[in-house]
Amino acid sequence: MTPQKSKFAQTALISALAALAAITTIMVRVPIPATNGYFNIGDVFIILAGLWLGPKAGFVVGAVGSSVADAVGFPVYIPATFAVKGIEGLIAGLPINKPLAAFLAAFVMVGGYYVFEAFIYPMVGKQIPMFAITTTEAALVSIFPNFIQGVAGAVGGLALWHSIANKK
Amino acid sequence: MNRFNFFKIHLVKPFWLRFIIFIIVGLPLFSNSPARFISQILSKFFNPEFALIITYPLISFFIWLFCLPSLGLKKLLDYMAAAFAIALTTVITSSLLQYLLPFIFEKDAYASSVRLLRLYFIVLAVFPWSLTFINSFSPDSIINALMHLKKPFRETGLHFALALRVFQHVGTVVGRLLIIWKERHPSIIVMRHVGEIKNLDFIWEWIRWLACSLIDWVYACLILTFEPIPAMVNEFEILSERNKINDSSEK
Repeated sequence: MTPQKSKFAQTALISALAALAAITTIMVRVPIPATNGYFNIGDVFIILAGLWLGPKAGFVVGAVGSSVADAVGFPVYIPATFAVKGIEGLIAGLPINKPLAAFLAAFVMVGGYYVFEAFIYPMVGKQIPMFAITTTEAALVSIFPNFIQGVAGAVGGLALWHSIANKK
Repeated sequence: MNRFNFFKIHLVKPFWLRFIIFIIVGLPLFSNSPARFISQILSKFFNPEFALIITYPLISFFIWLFCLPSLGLKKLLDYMAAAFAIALTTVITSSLLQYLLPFIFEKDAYASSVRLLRLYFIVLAVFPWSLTFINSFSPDSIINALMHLKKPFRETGLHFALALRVFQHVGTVVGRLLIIWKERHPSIIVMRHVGEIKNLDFIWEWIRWLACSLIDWVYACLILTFEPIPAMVNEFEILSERNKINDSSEK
């Protein structure tokens, strides 16, 4: 299976991967009370989208698919997710060594959430109380589950991409 | 059966009113405020803790009732079966991880249980609600409406209609495939096997079961999700070509 050149085929593949990313993000959700966030397995499809369809598609799948999932139950995380997961998909699609791109994307996701949870949300939370859900100490706690989530996403995404690439 | 048409949300017109009704009904899934408001009312009649706990099942029950006339009983039960599998997997996995990694999770067992209970009922409601939502808007009616628009909007609209059709297809496929969790890896969830796993072995078995089930499910999802995409794309390309021919003949 190869990425199609037709614009409609691109739209269909991106929509399918975004829907799968949203569903898998909602499916296995382990809440992390310290940061009011949660652990999930949606990264598999974000990294697959980047590896398979390129950086733009990776960005759209990461930003849209995961934000849709956050809208259910965790809406306050939508801005962070849109930016972090979008960049994760974009990096996974960079034209470099595929395993390197996948793991780099995962580490950027861990770092991105840390920046949002440790600095941006507490800062914005001083003006808008809705965002005062996490602190620098709590953000440190969430590094470990985010790391496991990122590595699992990279390994899963690479495995799926290998299966698809071998069908060419 | 016609008297039930009033309750069928997919028949509500115009489409924006349907959209607003969906958002209002689904509000408790996005925000905690409606649940807090309902529990405050209920706490006048019951113990406040009990009021909070029964609020979540009440909200889920209301959302199921809302979806029932549009979906029909059989489809709703199918969606609920998938939702129960997802919700149970979520809360059992969360509980096990809280037991294994207590330094990450909160020490207050009561708060943790209430949080998982809320998540459990949200998952139970969100699955039927979101599938009813995406299936209540028809790509064909979007395509018909596009015929009156100018060319660039029409092309963008066709992409939107295709994305909606793909979302509808994925929603239908993914729920049905959850049966793989039981059929291919029955050891944890089929009753006759329950006695075979003792104490701490259960944690290991559960993680193994979850990993194997998820891997099989993800592969099945990919195969069945992508299977009809070439036919869908072909249909939309024909529509786009037809529009182009009509535009050039009008000139």
